[in-house]
Amino acid sequence: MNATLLATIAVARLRVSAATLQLALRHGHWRTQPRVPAGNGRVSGRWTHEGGRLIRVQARPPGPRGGAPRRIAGNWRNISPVQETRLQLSHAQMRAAVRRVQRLDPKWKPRPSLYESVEGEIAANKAARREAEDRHYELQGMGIGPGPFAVESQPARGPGRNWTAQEKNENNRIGRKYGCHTCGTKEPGTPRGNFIPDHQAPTALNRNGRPQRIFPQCLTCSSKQGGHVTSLNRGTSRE
Amino acid sequence: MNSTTFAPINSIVFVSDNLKSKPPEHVDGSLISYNEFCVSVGTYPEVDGETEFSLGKAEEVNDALQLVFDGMIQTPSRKLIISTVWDEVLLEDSVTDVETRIRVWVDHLRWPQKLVVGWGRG
Repeated sequence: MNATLLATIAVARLRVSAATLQLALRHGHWRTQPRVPAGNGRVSGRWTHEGGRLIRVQARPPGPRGGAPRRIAGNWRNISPVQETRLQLSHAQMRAAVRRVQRLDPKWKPRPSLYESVEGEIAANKAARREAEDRHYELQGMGIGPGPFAVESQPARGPGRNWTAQEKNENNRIGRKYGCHTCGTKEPGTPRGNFIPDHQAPTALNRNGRPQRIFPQCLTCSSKQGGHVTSLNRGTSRE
Repeated sequence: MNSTTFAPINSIVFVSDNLKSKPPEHVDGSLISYNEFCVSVGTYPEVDGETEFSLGKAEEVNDALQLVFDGMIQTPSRKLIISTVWDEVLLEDSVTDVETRIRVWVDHLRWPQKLVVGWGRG
């Protein structure tokens, strides 16, 4: 047997092993992998390392249709591969929508849901995603986050408001072309006709110091935004 | 009467007892909004320049300005502050009661460059 053939066989064995491992992970057969046990206050059944120590595995056989079982409301439910895919997709979409809102309103959370089936969990994820999208839309209307009329913007040098003439001119150019990023008006409402340079995300809510951009805003939307940002910052927005 | 000059972010300041007071809902086209804890007042647009702020007893106010607010707010700490969206305290004064009469005067109804807050019966 020549070297090329030996290498081909080795690669094929490696691929089979990788595929086996992938299937085992997907269907919960990899019995030595530690999982979070039930009743410890965390989401049970997830893979864990727990500080390097192994934890007893909660292994379950695959369901009748081949999918890994899932624990919902204390009971193990069988889940088909199609359901598993839909569940993962709905969860990922919900998480992305919630994260987008929490970047602007860190204390916001979707209302908790109760469900007793996989379909119920998928529906709950979809509902939470819709709720997050609604909240994002609501925040946009408050001037928190780039508004529905945001088209162009310029990078912010930082959270400071010592604008250069060039930054003011560029902000005015964008404002005259596309209007206030929150309400769309092309009338800034200021005595000298300058649009307000508006940091997004608002500096008071940008706790992680993410890079900000500057959008043109009219005086009315800027004042409104000030009240909303203060409410969110003081934790009084839902009182 | 204490004074300072500043260009507050969002061209708005809050008059309240502390930095935790719930700000009022903004009323479109209005310089003033208020609730029982806080009065928000529009200022000269921050991008165009600064506003001069004054805070003190109402009896000390003698400028020829326009009165835009006259009402009561809760002052449980017996303090009165003028603050910004970033919670910067521009001016602070002590008051005598847990509920205080506040009056706000400005030199322009839309773009005030001078804003005076007076407290008490005066």
